[in-house]
Amino acid sequence: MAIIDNVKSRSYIIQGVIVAIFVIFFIRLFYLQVIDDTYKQIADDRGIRKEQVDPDRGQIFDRNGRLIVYNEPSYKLMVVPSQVIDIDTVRFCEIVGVDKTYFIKKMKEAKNFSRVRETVFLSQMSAEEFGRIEEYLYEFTGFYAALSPVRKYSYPAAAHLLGYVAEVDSNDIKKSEGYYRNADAIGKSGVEKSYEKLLRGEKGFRNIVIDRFGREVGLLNNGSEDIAPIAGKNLTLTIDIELQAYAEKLLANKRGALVAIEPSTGEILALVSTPSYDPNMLVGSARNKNFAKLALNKENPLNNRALSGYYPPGSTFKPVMAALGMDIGSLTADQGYSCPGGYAMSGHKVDCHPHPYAANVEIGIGHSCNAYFCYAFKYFIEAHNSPAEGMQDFNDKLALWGIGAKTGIDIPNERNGNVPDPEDYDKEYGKGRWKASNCVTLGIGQDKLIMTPLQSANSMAIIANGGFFYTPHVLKYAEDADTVLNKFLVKKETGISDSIFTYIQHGMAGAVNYGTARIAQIDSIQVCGKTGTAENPHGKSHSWFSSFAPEKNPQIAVAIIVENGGWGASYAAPIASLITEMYINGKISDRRKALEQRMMDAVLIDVPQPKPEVPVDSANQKPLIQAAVLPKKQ
Amino acid sequence: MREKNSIMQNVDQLAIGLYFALLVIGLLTVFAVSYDPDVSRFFNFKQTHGKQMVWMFISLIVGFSILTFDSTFFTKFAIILYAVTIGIFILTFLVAVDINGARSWLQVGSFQFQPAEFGKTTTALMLAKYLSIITGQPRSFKNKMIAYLIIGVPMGIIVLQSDVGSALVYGSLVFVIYREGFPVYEVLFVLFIALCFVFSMIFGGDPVGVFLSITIWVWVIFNSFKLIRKERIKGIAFLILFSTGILFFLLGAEMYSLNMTAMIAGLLICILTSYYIVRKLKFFKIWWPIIIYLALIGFVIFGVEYITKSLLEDYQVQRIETLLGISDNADAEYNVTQSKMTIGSGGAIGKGYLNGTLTQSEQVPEQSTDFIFCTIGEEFGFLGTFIFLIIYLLFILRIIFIAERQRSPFSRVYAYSVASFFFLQIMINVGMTIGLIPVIGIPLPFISYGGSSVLAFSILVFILLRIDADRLLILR
Repeated sequence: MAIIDNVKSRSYIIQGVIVAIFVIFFIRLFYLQVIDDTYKQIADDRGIRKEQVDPDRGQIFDRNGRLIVYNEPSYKLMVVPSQVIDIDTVRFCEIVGVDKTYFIKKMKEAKNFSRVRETVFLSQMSAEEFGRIEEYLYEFTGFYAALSPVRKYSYPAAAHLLGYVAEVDSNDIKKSEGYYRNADAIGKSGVEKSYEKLLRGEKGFRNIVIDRFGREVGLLNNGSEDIAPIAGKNLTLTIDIELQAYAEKLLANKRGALVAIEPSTGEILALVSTPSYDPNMLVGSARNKNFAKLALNKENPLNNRALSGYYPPGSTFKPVMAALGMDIGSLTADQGYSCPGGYAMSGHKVDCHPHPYAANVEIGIGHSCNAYFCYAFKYFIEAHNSPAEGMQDFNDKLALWGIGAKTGIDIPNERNGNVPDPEDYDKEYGKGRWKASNCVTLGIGQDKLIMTPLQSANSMAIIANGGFFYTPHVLKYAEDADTVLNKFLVKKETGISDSIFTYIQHGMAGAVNYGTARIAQIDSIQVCGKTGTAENPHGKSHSWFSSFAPEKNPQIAVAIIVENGGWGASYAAPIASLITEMYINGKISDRRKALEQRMMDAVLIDVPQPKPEVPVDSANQKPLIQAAVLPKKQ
Repeated sequence: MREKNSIMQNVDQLAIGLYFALLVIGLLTVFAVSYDPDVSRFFNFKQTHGKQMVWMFISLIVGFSILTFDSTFFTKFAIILYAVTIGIFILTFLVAVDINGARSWLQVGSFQFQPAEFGKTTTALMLAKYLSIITGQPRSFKNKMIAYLIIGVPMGIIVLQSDVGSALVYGSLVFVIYREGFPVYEVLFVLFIALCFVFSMIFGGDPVGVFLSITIWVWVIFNSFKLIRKERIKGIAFLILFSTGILFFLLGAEMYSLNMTAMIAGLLICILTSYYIVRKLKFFKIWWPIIIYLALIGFVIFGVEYITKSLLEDYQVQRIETLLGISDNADAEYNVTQSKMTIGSGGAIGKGYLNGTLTQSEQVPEQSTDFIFCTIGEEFGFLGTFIFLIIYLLFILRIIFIAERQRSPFSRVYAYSVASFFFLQIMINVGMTIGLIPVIGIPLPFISYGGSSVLAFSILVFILLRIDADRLLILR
């Protein structure tokens, strides 16, 4: 049958395919082994060392183009264990400056990784340290130095915001799916972490031909197989580094936090958490020592209080309460409440300080009347069908303000704060067995209400804008990568009418002009502010101040908390107004110089601000050194 | 049962001779890799070559005891063995630990083995059994589907275990199906679906594209089968088929980063339809295979490097690497560069046995297992690799020769399976070390270090020798 013949002939086709493939192999092998001489230059006794070339990490500039973070050359000592032959270990340790246990430990690690491939022996040597070793290095076969830049900071400021860079740990390596290797650098917090992928660039590789003693002979194919590193993107931040440094000076030796936002854009102008530290402490070989010191410090300088500090907002919440009440109509602009030394209803008593009659919302805010806002809260809740429904609405409305949830700022480790929901009170009092008067102090920013300084500053931006905000952010733009910013251009509405905010702005202006915050007055600028005093069960109250200025076309919104600072007017209001004045006027008027000095000198903590273990580079003592440098285009 | 003596006389002398030659080459090469001038003795059972020697010894014992089996044993137990194999595969997938990204190793005590290695034998036996059962029956759709499923089920589970290399080796059984007279279009179609499956595993990004192209393919194939009786419409059907192919190829090329699969699909469709049309019109009847072969050679030699370097997006390359379990310590490109360098540095005649400096200084990753061919290339040069591959080629051709002299379809199918396995294993392994195909980690049979591989391939070969010794019987 024809089919059988046909099928039988398929055997030859199969054999033909097999032979054909083998022929391809022979041709390829002949080409590789006999014709192609790419690998012939690797003579009998040579190999190739593939060396990683670290890219320059992107530099960071402030909103005015001042260079804040740049790179400085640093070296790492590499070792190839199989090439370490007959070296004088004692002398080596002496010269390099390591002890014997370190040497043994590192050599063991290196051997475990590979006998014939390089491992980092010592990382982050400064140029001076390397200079000391360099001339002796030839004595120690198997060791060689490789360049790897480290971070430097022009200002000893903004440590929390910028974050720091450190060597990758095993977790980072695992998560990166093959990008990071041992001893690579990675952003561990702050901007360095959130924009790691932009800042890090792309690694390069060099193929170095070595002889059998591990000496460099040249580059494979004259370097044509090498991959050049691609430098990381330069970032321009929204912060004003001079303002930041000034704010840190004012807050020095206090425990607290400050956030300044440009209301019209959501750009962060300054973000301070104190006690702070000089970012140059976490760089180079002194990093580990300094890090341990900071981590063990009782005041916890590594904690970024501006994003994660939990404080009851106290009276600074009153303007927000007023807006919520007026929005649903439970409070009207000309509503007055009498205050017989406090709020007293159904057995609950909330004290208030003596002040004139609060005839309307503006005066209520201006004099910060506790009774007024307890009523405002009570009637807000009672305007709903049930307390639970009212509380849920309170919660939902605040969510639109970014209160009780992360604002989404582009710095890691932000926390939520807390706005209670009906279930919280159901748990406490039993389902449906509570009403507004059980939690009336929510209206004056107490009870279960918790806000971070960032959320407080953002609520000021909303009031200043008349009802909307942009997600607070610190990245202004990244070189060649504009798309990251789109999420910061989305306008977020609270749904409350513009006209309502006019009353609140007036009230806050009143607080500064005739009310509780007179100390915040600045000549020529109308500041709108609200003091707050957050009760602290562990000691003296925390001093709060939230403000924006000027009243018309606001340029800056500031929220500040000074822990154990007492009244809002004692520390928070003066410092906030000084920062506002400095930002808008560029200087402090003579009238207020004394106030400025008093704030800088005040000490409110037991442990002084940490100082670097090892003296930092002198460059940092000249804060303006790089001020004129504009963003470098690459 | 025959005398053991007479079985030894009937065993194919050339095949067993080549088998021993390969074992010896393997042992010497593993020794060259583990060789360390300071400490090495040949009989050192702590080092890899010593362990390999033990495994080879075990393999020989097992192999020669297989020769004492009754040859009908394999036909009788084929189905049970196959069922057990599938069970173990599923078990492996469920309980296996992750080794280099693949979940294909089973651990029994301190002993690890890869069930996929042993499953080759049982799958081949099952396929042989089934094809011999349906010999003489009309090839119904159901019969054919079962044959494909016998290959497809273990293959699918292995792909799920992330062991793409072994899955491809199982896929080589389509050669057998082809030899047994299944229509060539159908075989290529199944091959194509399998490739789509594997590629979509690798390239991942575009399951919709894979699904679409498969659907369209199935539709076109079925319709053209229907229309095959109505001559007139056939032309139109193939026209549609061809234009679909072109469309896919263009779309795929346009956005190659997304749609590698569509591009390959399109290319295949075009080739097949043009093949058909050319044959129909009797154009270049002799010339077209030669032209395509030359084009393929050119593509393979010069094009592959271009594709893997330029066409594949980084994330795809990374995905391949992760899938194949090499991204952990070094990147795939590095492995291939080192491997090509090592082979290339051997030159025409090599550096001499135990003088491979790059081998000695551990320049090649995985050099006792997946990249062991480098050591042969470095120490014996082109001469060595040529002779080595010729030995292997003879071994495979001898197995095909053995296959063709069988009277029983069972023996013939089994023998072809063995040849296919060896062929694909060599093709992938050697192809990757010389940079012709992407790095896919599978061992070089008998040469690579690894107990379960040597044992499994020995069993495969000895069963063939045992069946062949009874070639005058017709086994069912």
